[in-house]
Amino acid sequence: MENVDWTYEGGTKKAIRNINLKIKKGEIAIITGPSGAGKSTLCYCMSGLIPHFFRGELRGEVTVGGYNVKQTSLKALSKEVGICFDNPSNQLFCATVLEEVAFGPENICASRDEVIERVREAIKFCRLEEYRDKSPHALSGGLKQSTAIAAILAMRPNIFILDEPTSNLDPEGTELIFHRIRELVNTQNKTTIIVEHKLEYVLPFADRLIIMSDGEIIANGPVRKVLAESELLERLEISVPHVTKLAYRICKHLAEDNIPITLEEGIKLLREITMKKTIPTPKEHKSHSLAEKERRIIIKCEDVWYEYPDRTLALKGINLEIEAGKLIGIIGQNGSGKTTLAKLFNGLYKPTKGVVIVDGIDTRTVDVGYLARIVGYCFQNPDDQIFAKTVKEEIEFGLRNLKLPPEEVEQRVKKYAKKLEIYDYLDASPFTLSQGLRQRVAVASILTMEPKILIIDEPTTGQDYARSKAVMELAKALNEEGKTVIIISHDMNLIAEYCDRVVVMWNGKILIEGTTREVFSKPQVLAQSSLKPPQITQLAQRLGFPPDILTVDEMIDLLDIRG
Amino acid sequence: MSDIAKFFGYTPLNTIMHRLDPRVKFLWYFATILPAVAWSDPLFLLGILCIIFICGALAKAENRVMLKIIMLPFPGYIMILLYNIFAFDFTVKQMVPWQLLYLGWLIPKFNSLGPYGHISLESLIFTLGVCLRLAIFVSASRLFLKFTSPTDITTALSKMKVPVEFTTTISIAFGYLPELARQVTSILDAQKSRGWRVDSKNPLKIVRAYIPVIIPIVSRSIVRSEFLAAAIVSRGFVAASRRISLKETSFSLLDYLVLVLLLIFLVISIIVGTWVLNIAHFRFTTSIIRQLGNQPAI
Repeated sequence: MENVDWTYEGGTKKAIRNINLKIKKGEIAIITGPSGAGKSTLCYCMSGLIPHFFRGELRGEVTVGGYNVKQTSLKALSKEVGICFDNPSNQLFCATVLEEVAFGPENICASRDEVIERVREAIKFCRLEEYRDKSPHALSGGLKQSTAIAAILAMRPNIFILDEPTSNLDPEGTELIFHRIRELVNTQNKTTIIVEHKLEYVLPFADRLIIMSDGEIIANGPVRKVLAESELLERLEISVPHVTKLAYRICKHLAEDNIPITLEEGIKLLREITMKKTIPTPKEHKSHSLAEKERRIIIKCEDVWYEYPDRTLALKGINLEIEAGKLIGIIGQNGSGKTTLAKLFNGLYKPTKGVVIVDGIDTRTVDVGYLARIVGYCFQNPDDQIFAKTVKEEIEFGLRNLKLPPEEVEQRVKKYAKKLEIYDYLDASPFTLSQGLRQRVAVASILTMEPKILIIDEPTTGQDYARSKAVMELAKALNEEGKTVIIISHDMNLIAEYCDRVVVMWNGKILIEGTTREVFSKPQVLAQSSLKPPQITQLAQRLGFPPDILTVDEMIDLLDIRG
Repeated sequence: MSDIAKFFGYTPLNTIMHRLDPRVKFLWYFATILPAVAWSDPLFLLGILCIIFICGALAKAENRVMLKIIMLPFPGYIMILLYNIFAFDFTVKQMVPWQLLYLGWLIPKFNSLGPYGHISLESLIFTLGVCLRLAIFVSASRLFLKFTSPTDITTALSKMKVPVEFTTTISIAFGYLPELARQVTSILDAQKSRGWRVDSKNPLKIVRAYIPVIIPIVSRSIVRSEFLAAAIVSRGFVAASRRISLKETSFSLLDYLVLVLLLIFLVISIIVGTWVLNIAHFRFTTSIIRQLGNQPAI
């Protein structure tokens, strides 16, 4: 790419600018950076979707596999470059996995035998044989994305582009996809470009790391060379692996080659350092939540079972007590019952057996509208609820449904718009706002109802690190004001850093429940639901340190070494 | 999976019905629908409905769901009944060569008013026939979609020389159904959690009340369609170009067999129904019942 600029039609700002980038044949390049940095746009340029599909103004030259992108048709480019998008549901459109994988070859192959051969090979590579005749929409997120990868693989391109392939997946799906990608990289010897926030997974097999911010490439080079620019990475809030972060903090002048990325490298580095000194006995960890003044149970589940109308048994005998004023994390794979459980708390679902008592009320006796005053539920995707002409109307919606007097509505809207820093946008259309702002509008529209309990469903899915952290900071602030906050998330690092207690769901049951430290210090139990503690916790456990270290800061405190 | 998808979506299975050539599936659909449109006799139509249920069993469709589907147009059945009670005497009566057998009045005589809504045996049987037509239409359509994948529809249509843009659009639209259903559920849940509910009986107000649900559905569908289109073109799809089909569309022995059976069925139902015994006209059942009740039916 030489001097490439791109402005989307109707846009005033260049989505990417001054892009000069060379990726060699067979190289594995990782692109990362905050949301809105232009990473996806860069992928669209390389795949020819820009300028052939998206409209706008392209300057500069893009050459892919010897073809000038501007002068080559998308069909011709599709044989050279395959692109896989972030949300698997948005790229699958056929009735069965087999048909999905065959769609591409059907367009470009010369004979039926060739189509069959390519489809067979791609399905075999992605281990989808047993799902061949199933609808892709009925599969788990990980398998859906595997289908999307197989569909690209069957096109036999020389260049693979994977745009945040795991951002919508649960930890199990993420593992599965990275496993496939590793195999792809090891066996196919093809140029692979991956946009990813979860650097911990991709850096071990990457050759090149590219950091983008605000439409520009601001760092580009061999992985460890780029990682050496610690100040830049920290400023952009790039989520480097925990061991790398730890190395930044404890060894200021670490040689480029010694920057650890994997757990094993982290262990090696720490062994060298700690050999020279004894590890002090662990300090008592102080709880970062409200002081234990009173124990009041605000949600209580007694032997709760839930069966969907199609007879899927989603919850099997849940017994749980949630204390008022806590920050609770619910973790588990998709389909483990997390969201179902949360929807029982706000009365969207009523238990098929057992009782859910919320703030003293049996949820079976009242409707969702009534419980909305007590339990606020923020959905994962703000676009599931945004409909109004202005942000103000959007925020008012819940209050109007509760039939509050207009003065009260006005006053609350102002209060929460200021609190969430969206006051300046009250007259703007919510559809024109950025994803981050839309999420805040959605949260504000729930907070105005002043619920005692706030449920935030997967606030980190599809978000970059900085934005996920912002949501967690907000949750923490609300919690400190006295609200009980329940967070459903796949991000173990953030759960470990912020939550007081953790509930681990598995197969419709509670696998383990306790303080965050208790839960994460039992990796064997977590493994049963294919979950892993944060990398820093794993590091501590492997080194025989206290097994409940949850953050890099705690590790540094423990080692009592800096610089 | 959500109810909508379960009702109307394709279920990938490997049954005799699923294995049929898409063109034979289309013929099956028309062979069940056409007689239903043309004829009105409840016994004859009940026979067709039984055939649909047998095919349903062969395609492993749950009887419970099939029955639910048949009850879906229930308000329609009531409308048809009411219409025929009031209008039969002025419309279909001419087709009956004998005196109608009156059973009573819907609204009895009151002072100088009424009576209204003359209920006759003939009107009830005719109503039953029309309702069965509707039931056949919904159940056959549903079953057809259950054992015919969207791609099958595309393949069959393209074999019938329908342009590729059109066939692909149809295929994607059907493929989108389950995902759309999921999205609608999620949006409904999100708005319900904000205290949204529809508690008006005024149809205009109900439409207005649904705006907070309809707008997110439309906006999300538009966003999704953009991504889908990008995925489709990046997999080498170009409008109006030749595609190789993975699926073999040559007829198997089973296809020929079913084809012949369907053609025989169509021919017989037309010939017998029209000229031989008139069994496809609602007078057939009526006359049987009248004879059982010792009423002349000539």
